[in-house]
Amino acid sequence: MSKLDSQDVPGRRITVTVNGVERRAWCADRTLLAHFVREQLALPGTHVGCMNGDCGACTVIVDGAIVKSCLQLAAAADGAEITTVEGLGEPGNLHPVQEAFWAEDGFQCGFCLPGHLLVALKLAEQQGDPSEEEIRAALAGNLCRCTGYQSIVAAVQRAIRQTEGT
Amino acid sequence: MIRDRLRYHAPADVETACRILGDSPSAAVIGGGTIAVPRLGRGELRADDIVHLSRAGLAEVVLSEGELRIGSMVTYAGLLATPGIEQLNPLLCTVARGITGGDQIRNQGTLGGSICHANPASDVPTALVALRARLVLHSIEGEREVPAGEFLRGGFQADIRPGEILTHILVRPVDRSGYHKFKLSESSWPIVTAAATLTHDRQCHVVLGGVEPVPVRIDLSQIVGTESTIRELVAATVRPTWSDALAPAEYRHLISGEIAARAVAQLGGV
Repeated sequence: MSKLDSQDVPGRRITVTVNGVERRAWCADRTLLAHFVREQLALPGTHVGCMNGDCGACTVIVDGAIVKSCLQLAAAADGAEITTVEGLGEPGNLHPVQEAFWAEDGFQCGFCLPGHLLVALKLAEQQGDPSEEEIRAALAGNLCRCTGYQSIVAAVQRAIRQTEGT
Repeated sequence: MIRDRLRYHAPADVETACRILGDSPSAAVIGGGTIAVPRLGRGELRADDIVHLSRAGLAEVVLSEGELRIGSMVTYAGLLATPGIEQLNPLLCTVARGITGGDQIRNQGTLGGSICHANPASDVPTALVALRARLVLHSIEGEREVPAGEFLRGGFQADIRPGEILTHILVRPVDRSGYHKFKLSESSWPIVTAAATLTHDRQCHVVLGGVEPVPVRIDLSQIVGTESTIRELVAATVRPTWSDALAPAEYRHLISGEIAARAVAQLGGV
């Protein structure tokens, strides 16, 4: 049961595959996917920032597409395959995209980092050779209030180089 | 989080969706969620029942007899992924690629949701009015078709009756088109938008958004195509009647001629 809702509001049990593991959990019908992931699935790496679809900190991958999880009801994700930042790597065994952000100081306070990492992952998976302009366009849905964009762009460039051939 | 104790429905077809709408004391329809979900969170939209159209079979783009039939759940990314769409409708592609909010919003937001929200500053109302799109609205009483220009009644006001659902957007091709929007930062809503069209029978129009509460169509067919003439005609035609937090009406009016001229210039030698 969530800290946010008890089962006396309309709700349902949903099944999602999160970071490769099938999870079944209850959610209130009014629960946002961002809160479901953080509270019911106990994966707090997904950050909730603006709750308005502006900042991108809550970005997750749902059925292969990056989405802002504050704009989606959890009930709509029943049956979906979800990747959160916890699905990338862990301390001591970072994903190449995380290594790239570490090497380039691609974060300052770190709040926007989970969103940037998942956008970078999608970009790196596309196997292209995007220009700096294309990288900046791909990051347009993610805000860094510390304004560390130059390091973030450098980290994404490194992530793309590191992912080549993997 | 959302304070209303709402019930979520994802009906498998439009008929069921309409029935739930009819039976509920207060229901809200959700498309991509990018507008409605935050509004629910802020309490601007209140509902006992949420009818989500995600499983209602409305996410397809079909071409039949030269007309595009765009389901109301087609996202911007879904539109761009449609084979041949760049040739069939470059104007809608330009709009879809330029939507504010990154790939996430293009993966989630829908053209249908945008026109229903009827924000004067949005891209979609301007583009659909310019293309003379028709909107198909379904209820338990049947179906009706409304031209986009009549569907938009005012700022944030669309002609959707209780119990109705927008199911499809119908669009015919134009010969040439151009689109320009003006905004002052990447993550901003547009301030003024302009869509120019040239039809096969040489009718040239520009439609301006964000200047009045609804998009304004201006016939350019009779004027010599110099940019200064376009600017003067636009400035003399549109009225400064729409403001929002980004810019006052006078400012929108002042730049409208220039934005129109930039869209028309993309038509290339009218």
